[in-house]
Amino acid sequence: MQGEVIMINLIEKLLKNNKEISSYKIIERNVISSELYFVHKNIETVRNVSTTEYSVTLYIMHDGFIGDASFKVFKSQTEEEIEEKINNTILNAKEVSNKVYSLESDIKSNDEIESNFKEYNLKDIAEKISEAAFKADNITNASINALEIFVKKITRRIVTSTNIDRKEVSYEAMVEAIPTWTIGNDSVELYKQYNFSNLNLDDITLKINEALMEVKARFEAKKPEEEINCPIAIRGLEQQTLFNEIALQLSYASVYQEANIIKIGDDLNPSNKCDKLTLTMASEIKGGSNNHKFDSDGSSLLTTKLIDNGKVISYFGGVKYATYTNMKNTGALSNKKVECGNTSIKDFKLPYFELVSLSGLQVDMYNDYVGGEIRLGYLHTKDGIKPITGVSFQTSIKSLFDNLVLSKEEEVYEGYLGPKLLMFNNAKVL
Amino acid sequence: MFSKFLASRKEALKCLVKELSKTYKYVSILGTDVKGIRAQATKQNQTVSDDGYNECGFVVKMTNDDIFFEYSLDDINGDIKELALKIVLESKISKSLESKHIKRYAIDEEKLEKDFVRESDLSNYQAKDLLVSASNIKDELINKCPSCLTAGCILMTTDVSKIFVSKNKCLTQNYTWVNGIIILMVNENGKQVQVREGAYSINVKEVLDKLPTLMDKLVSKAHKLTLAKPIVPGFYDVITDASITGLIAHEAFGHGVEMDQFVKDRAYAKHCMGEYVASTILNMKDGAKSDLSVASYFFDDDGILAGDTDIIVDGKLKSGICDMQSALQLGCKPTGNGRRQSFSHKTYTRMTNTFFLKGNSTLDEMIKSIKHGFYLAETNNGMEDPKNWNIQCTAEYAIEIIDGKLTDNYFSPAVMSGYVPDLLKSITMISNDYEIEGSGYCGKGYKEWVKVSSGGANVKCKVKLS
Repeated sequence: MQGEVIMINLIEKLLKNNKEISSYKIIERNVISSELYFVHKNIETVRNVSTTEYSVTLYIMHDGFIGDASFKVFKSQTEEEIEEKINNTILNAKEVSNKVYSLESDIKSNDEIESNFKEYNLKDIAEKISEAAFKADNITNASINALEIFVKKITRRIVTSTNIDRKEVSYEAMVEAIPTWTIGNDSVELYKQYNFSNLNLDDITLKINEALMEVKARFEAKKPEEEINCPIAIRGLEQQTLFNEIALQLSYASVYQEANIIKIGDDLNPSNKCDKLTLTMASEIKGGSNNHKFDSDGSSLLTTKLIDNGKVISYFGGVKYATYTNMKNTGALSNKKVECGNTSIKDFKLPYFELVSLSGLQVDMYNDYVGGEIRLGYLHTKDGIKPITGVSFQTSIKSLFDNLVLSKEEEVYEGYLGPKLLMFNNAKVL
Repeated sequence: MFSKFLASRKEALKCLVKELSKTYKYVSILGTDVKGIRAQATKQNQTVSDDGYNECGFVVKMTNDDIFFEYSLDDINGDIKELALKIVLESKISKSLESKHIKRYAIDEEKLEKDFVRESDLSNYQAKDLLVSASNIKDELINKCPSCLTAGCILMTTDVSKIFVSKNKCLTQNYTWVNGIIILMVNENGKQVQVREGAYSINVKEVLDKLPTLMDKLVSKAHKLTLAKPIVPGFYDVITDASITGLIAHEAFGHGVEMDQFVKDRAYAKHCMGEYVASTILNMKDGAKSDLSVASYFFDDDGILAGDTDIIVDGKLKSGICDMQSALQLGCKPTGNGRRQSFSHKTYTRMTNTFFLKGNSTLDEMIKSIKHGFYLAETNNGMEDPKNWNIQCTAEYAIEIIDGKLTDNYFSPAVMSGYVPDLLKSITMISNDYEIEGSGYCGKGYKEWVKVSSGGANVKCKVKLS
């Protein structure tokens, strides 16, 4: 990493030499990546990536305001080019007149996020993942029509004029798979994306096998003969999408800009007939693929409960908007945890409609709307499980939370830990 | 103006191509230097920064007869022989992997050396000028709606320089684009809404002149949307505004004819070439050369010249769009649609400017023809399903049409879903003008984001709304 150290030192030297700058922040991001792209079972493209870029923010105190402006630096740039960018950005920052806010200060750290990837060469990991995935591709009529594998080592470092020097190494893998079921001229597919930072080859084979069984179900799925009028259950991906929107509402930035329609004191589960929602922004999730030690200001991430038994109790956010709202700096958290309920999935009242694959969950907080087109759902009835396709659903967010059933079983999905299934009533299936 | 940095590396690129050609039959290098500024002024805050999509680096592409190897890096200079050796070593794969390669045709590349430049007024504006303009526009908007929770203006510029070097080609290009958006958030009638209007051009001045003219419409729309109700789900006659037309073209058809999906047997359209897939009055195009907008480049990221592809002609599916790698697997000509999110990402077949062509009806005639239906407006988002040809698109709002007249009844949101051929065959009228919007991003699945434009004429069709 000799080259990277020199560049960050150069940038810092130039910033320190410029007396017009009140404070500064430099973020360095180095990515080393090994990638494989398959068409059916054949390798089409092999990619290797090695890049580093820098993001620099200048802060200039003027006229009782703080002027902040930022720019990117690329490894190929010369000292003269960087100095010119600094001078231009100073002019930009002087045009910005924001309310003064504190900067994070006095923290040094050097961490490696837990991952067994470091035991292997990235290229080997990518190839092992492909073997594990294709191991499951041995079912008649089933195939993985496309497979893309990205294995990355990311080194992130932040250095500021306020005595921050924090570094973090993390690993991540992303696998995009297209399971397909074909009989004759008829064919259906699903889209699957898996993100993880620990290598478990058996788990990969299992997940791909599950995906192939799901796409078989999509092939066999039909439009319902009768109207579906029962509770709907959503899995981890859709739960994450939903709670991303809820969390955004409760961020300091939304509160400061008066963009939030959910506020401290609101009760999202007023009914006594449902499970209560407890939502926490978590600094780390065991087994999650989005764990970090600090945010882009160098602030540590402090686990913060936002909603407790249905009641909104807190907001969260990084140093800038924490200053503006006069609240505690929690860091710009992104991982979410929703506490499970007391009902095991096997005890869920029948019938219910489990959504397996959607085109995309649409969540509109301002219009109180949640919905989406259903590519595959499982209708659980006393007569068994029926695969359903060709319908969509919609409900109001208020109604969704007023009818919650949270499964006892939990599951990690990327940066989300929550009930394996989250069920709600009063939705329309169209 | 073309990037001085890329110009300074031209000879080094040629040397590296020559060196790597000792190991590979085909070698190309794409260099990118993308500069952009984002200046934002809201009631509460101002920011000015380099755009998140700025990039500067190179990607080397190499192949013999089958597998493509790529190496993305920040710079190409210094000891070229040593760099070439490093790239060759890093690109080695196991024998087991090598044995499972795709089959494809050989690359047959024409000789071409050309420099392309599209002039604009971008160099007349510094970042601070844009911030001052954004602040002034924001202040003017607040004056028009003093009770707003927030008002803002965002100005985004893009200045793209790319160089493509191979044994037979040396191409350079430089082009620009400007997006301007005004935003308003109000809380009235017990409801909070956020609305936007946009202006797009190759020139900053045109965007700055246009934005103030949209303010009255923005304020009026905000007030009306606070009274918007949810739609009663059902099938309706609708008329789409240009952005919704574009969303349909993009999601329903654009993604469906990306030929890298043909290679993977992921596109139903593969089996429908030459067949009627839409109303006979419908025509659709895609191409960086088809119109002037955000995706109007001169050559794609594999050095293929920009195309102007007729996708649907009089209702019949005529052609897909194709990147070089997919064309080599399918045995067809690439259409200049090979695009990367950045030099550190792979090339895929991607849309550029995608639109339905204009027809013969006036918008007035189209509205008058509807007894009960909706006018759908403003793209929110959409999702593709090229294999099963389903579509899900969300419009920000719908305006009810009753007895041939637009009412003041607003509904929001309006989610369209259904089977693409049914939707397209239900088109019965197309307006005689059209518009393209160049502010959007398109993903492939949930990744690989590129800037695209879409639009077209107003169309009348029947859709499921919820």
